[in-house]
Amino acid sequence: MSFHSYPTHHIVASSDIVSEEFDGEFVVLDLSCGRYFSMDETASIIWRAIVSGISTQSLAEAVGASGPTNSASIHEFLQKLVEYGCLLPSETPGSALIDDATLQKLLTSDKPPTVEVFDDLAELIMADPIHDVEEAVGWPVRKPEAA
Amino acid sequence: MASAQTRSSLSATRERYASLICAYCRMLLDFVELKFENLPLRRTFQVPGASLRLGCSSPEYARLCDRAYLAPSASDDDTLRPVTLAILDHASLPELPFWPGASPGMGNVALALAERGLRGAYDPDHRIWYVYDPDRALGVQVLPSFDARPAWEGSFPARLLIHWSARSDDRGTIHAGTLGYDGSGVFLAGAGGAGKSGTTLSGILGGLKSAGDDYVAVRVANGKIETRPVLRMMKQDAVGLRRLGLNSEESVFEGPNWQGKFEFDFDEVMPGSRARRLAMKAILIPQISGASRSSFRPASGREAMMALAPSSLYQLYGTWKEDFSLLASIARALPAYHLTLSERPAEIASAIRDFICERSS
Repeated sequence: MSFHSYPTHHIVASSDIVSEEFDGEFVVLDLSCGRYFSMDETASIIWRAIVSGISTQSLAEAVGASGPTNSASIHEFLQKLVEYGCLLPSETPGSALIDDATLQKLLTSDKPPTVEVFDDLAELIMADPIHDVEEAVGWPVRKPEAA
Repeated sequence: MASAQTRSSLSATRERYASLICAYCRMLLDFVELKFENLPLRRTFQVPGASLRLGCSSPEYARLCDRAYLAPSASDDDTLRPVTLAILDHASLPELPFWPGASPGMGNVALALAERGLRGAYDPDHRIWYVYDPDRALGVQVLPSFDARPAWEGSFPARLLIHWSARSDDRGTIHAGTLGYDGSGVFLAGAGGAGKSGTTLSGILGGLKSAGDDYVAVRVANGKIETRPVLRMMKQDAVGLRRLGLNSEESVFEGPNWQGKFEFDFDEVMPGSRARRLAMKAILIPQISGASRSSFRPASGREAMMALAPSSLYQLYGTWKEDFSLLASIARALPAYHLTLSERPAEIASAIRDFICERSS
């Protein structure tokens, strides 16, 4: 896939996506489905940048192609967040400029961004005929899965 | 791919369905308002933030509440919101309105009511409706019969109604254990089986106090966190009790319950162990180990949040956005530590007491 096929901007998918920051690390919860996400420091820097209106394109161009956090790893990470429903590609350019502190943190990070996904709450809320779930799971305690 | 017409039709159908659900729930609330004084069993309880006037159609359910909740305390200086809650069952009250359609999903009810200013949930396995109107401070839980109640209901009767009715901007109920000494305390947070309840019981047998080992009320004010009890009982399995030198056959231990655990009033097992309030100093994330001594090492705020939030959000449904924010403010305000537990209950209690004392001085 060529560089230019990636979205140039992203926005938070909806008001159902809420996030909280802890000493530079984010935990994100999708209220619509109960799935939550735990982001490491690098992922959190990118998340904060996107939420504050910095465009994907400017982030990717600023970090370049080398280092653990590079344009490819940023695009892959943001694509994951789109697949998880946290972000949407946007046609509207981000209005904020990448600041030196954010750029330095990304350039000096020693690993690419990672996000852990937790589905236990999602299982709870998706026990719902209107979401086409065939069999409701026990609530609020999950039943053992069939062997 | 669905056409625009199909999507519009689906949206209209969902809207009609949500309106029907809301109309039924308001009918249940109106029923309670009209009939509350005629309910055969009425009680008054107190949880932090709310004075509960609770009515039940079934004597067995009233007994569960008597066992679970603390009596009102004259020394409590909180402003208490008067709340009326009713636990009703169709078997005892044939005139109680029935939901006329097929069983809805939990999300249908929660979302439909949230959009209309109500709190709600539906347990499709047990066909239980939970509805709360914050404006009227009025809630109702409707189940087919007392015998059809969920197995876990006895541990925290009317859990969702109480969670919703005691909720405000700065306070709520969370799922965590607590231990305290001389008015200061720590949370014990983490996944089930991590050692929260065993550590709490080790602590109170070793002279510490607790506001509870499962659900506790928290209040966040000016960056300080205060915890108070919601429930009278704790739980522990027979092996855990034996390890701590307790005999599950003694009359104070009721059970075993649906989890194979015995429930007990911990203030009866260890008189004076119930803390009326604790000023919280840290979040501990316990981990069982074979170490000879318990030890503490710092944890990140994110780790503390991930230890606190999932079980609270999973078990206390319906106010996720507010609760996520409340839990985050706790995880940000307090330092967090991984607690590696030794195998010696007295040493664990002593280590936690020393830890609390160091942070209270």
